[in-house]
Amino acid sequence: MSLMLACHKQLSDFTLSVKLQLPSQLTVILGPSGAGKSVLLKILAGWLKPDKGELYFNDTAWFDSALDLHLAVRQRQVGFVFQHDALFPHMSAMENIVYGHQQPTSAQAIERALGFAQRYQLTEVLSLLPKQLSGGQRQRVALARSLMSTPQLLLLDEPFSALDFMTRRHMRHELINLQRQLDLPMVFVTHDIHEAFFIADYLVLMNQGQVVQAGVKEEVLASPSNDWVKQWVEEVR
Amino acid sequence: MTDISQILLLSLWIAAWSTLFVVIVGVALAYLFVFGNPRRWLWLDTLVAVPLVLPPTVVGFLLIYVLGRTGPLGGLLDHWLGIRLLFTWQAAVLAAWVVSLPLMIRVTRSGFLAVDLELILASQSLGKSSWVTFRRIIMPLSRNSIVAGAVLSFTRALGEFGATLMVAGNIPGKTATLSLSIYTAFEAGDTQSAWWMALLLTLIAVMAMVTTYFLTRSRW
Repeated sequence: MSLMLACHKQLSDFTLSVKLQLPSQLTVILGPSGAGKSVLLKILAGWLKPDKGELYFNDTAWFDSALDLHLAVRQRQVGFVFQHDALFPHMSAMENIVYGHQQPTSAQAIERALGFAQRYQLTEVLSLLPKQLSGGQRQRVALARSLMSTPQLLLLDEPFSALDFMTRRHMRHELINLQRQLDLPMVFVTHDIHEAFFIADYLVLMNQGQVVQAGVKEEVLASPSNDWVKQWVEEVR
Repeated sequence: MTDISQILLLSLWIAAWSTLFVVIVGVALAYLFVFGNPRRWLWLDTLVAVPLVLPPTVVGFLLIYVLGRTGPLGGLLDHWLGIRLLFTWQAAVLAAWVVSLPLMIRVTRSGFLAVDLELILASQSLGKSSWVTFRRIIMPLSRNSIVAGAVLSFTRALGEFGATLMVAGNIPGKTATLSLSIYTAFEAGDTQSAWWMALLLTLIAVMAMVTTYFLTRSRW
């Protein structure tokens, strides 16, 4: 997998200007609130269009201002897990999961959904509405739903921030196992330094719309590029 | 005494047809105004909202101009299809539709705006088209608003007076609705009939509101 992004976007508080080449593992974008992390994720998903630049995924142009090209969200085959799960409240857990499939009513979709339900201990709660599920169950349903569409890239916007400590810890392990098993490239956004260093293979530190440092986690730990990065790194040393 | 049952059936018939068209067009326009380009459709948004603030007699007067044999629409209908709409029950449907449509759009628009944007984005991220997202996510989640809008439009259509009188007239057995007949009965001194019809309209309105309450209780 290759994800190459070089873009510029004027926002109300600051200008987002990034140049990144992401590996095919678990990339974590870390930074304080308002750094532009979620904006970057929305650009990758296709919901926000940069003012200029380019975004290529596996040599396919998703955005290129020189070619006046901006691929719609639907065409990018990107899975997205939201901070507040974004489960459809009028659908049961099972209906939410199968909705992710191209043909939700097909036998294949149901079989696949049941497989995810078993893996994520959701079998007993498939008939329940989202409001009847715990926070952890909701995020697992959201994760299963995003995987149903067989995405080529999974984006996660602080998906565990609303969960309690134990559930969060369990979900982090689950995510790492999932990434290893499916070899699915993931981009995970968080403002939690401990979470970032626990799950990341590749780390991108952002502040005020700029990438301050990007690299393999161990390299960032060993050689922070400036005092600001050092502040973050010292929290986990 | 006036044959109230016949007048009631006619009124319900006209209100039902008007509501059917109001729901179809109202939902479509509300979608356009909420999810389309607002600047591009500002002119249409304003045009359909105007009957809400215009006196019904002005609405009726303008409809007469449009639907009359020499009018832009009436002329075409008469010339190409031999259809003359004025002073027919169909004209009454059209008058009720024009005055009810802005209500339907307003209520439905609120329903659409209340749908969490993240849910719509989630549907898009799962590869769903705009139509599927509308049908499976937006519509079910704004169902209560659509139902409330339909009921409001129905009761508005049932009570329509000014515009209906001008474009459809007050022809007994043909276009004389409950509202018009109350006025006719009162003018003729038949207060007993006027009372019965007024009570009937009130009862229908109350039943409509109660029905709305039960239909729009949230299940999730």
